[in-house]
Amino acid sequence: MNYLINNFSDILSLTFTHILVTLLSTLPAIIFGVILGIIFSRKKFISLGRFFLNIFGILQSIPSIAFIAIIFMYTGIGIKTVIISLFVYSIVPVIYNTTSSLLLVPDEVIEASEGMGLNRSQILFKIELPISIRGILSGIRTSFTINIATATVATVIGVDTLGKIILIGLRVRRLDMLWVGGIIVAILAIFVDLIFEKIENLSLKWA
Amino acid sequence: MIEFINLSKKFKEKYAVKNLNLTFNDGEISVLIGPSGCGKTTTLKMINRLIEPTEGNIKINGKSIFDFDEISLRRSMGYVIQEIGLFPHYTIYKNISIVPELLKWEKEKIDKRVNELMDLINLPRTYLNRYPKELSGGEKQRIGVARALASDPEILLMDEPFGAIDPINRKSLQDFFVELQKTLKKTVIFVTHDILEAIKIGDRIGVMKDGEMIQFDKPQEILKRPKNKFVEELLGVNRNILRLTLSKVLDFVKKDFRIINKDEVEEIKNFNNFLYIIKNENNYDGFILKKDFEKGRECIREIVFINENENLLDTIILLLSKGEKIAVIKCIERGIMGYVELNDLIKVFEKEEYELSN
Repeated sequence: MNYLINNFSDILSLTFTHILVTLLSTLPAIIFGVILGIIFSRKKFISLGRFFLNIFGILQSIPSIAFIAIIFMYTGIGIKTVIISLFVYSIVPVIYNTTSSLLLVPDEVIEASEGMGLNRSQILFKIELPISIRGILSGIRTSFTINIATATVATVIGVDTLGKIILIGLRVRRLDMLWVGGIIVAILAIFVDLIFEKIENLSLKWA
Repeated sequence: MIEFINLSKKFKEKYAVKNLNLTFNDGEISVLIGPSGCGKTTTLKMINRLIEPTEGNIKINGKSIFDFDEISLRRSMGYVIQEIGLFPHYTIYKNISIVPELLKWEKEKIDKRVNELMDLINLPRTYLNRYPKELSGGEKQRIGVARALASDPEILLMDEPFGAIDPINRKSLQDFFVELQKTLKKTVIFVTHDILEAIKIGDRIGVMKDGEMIQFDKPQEILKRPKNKFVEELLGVNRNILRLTLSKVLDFVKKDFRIINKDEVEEIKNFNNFLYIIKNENNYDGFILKKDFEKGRECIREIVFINENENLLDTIILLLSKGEKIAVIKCIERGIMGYVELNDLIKVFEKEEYELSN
């Protein structure tokens, strides 16, 4: 507790960087992920989608610390490396959930929409996306949570996030520092989770 | 008017629909029937270009479907499918109003139309704020029909619309649709694989096999003169019985009855009708035959009510299953219109069979 009070401003700035790194990587992941997810759910691109998801899946199974190290060899030290790695980590659940929820929209709903004369973009925006919103949101939620946790690793290549507290705590064997670092990350993750739960409930009057 | 001109559809090298030349009349229900894979659904979907014809043309009131852009072509026709396909995330109101909204109708006009449609399909307006999952299968398909009728299109395409509904609700949906058509007079193309349904609702029936139209004719004609063995088999061994569905019970109504109040029963001996219906305030207690009256009150029998549009077959089945010989025709607007006797109905059946065997 003393540690928290004495280093409050440092912790605050680490938390800020942590959030920044998370947002800078997750927001593009959401945008590109949803777009790619939509493309991969179109009949023509389903096999292409499967191929990409496999590749991303393999990339994702590399431990985050190794992955960041590999990217680091190409792009060097700094925030760029962190954001690229986190982007790759968090885009997979977004694409995956978007594609699979869109494919779950019942065929008859699409057929009825076509038969009634909705054009493609109307079918996508008025029918398919609203029906799949729950699945898409849950992908986004997962991607956020993953990145909040993974952003701690950024510290190893010199971007000071909340991982720094944990890393130093480990080096100097300070249990209180480990607790503070861990708990703040956990609180961030829970906070994001709660927000998404609220959004999901709002969007689901009809289910 | 919808015309098919040398209409064909090939999938890969195989013909799904082969050289159809037909005209569907305005204001009629034309039913396409045949075994699965006969091309009936493909034919239907070519009309609104959900499937593009390979050869030939379709003309609507003289204008080729290729002269429309496909989106506005589809918006100009109602479309109802077996799986209904209501939008789960929209309320019933939004489901029904989707095409008028696409056509940019004004809010008040849409409001008025939606309410009108709810009355037409006989569902309470309170349903408008509900979501599809709160409705039963039969109710959902009524909404499906209302949605297709929303912009008051001239043409209605229906692909086995009642096929997934349980038998009891299916019958009531068919009755409802036949009634509805009397006032709407739409040009309906209706796909089914249920011959009973085809005979019941069709003004014309097209029997299809392997992509070809075997026979396109009025139901009476098809029943009387099936063109070949295939049509005969499709009609089944019950062909003679099926013809009973074409006759309305109202043609056999008898009016030799009198409605009396409960306390008038004792006075029957002064009257001279065949049958007496006993009224008890707003309900009917039963009926009694003049000839049975002397035997006393236990001769009062429960009334089997039927509506005025009922066909002979359904009436006979109902009477046999209830073990009664007389059915009373009751019309919602006009009250009791008369009664029919099972014996008369059966005699007609014998006569029909006689006609057929000659």
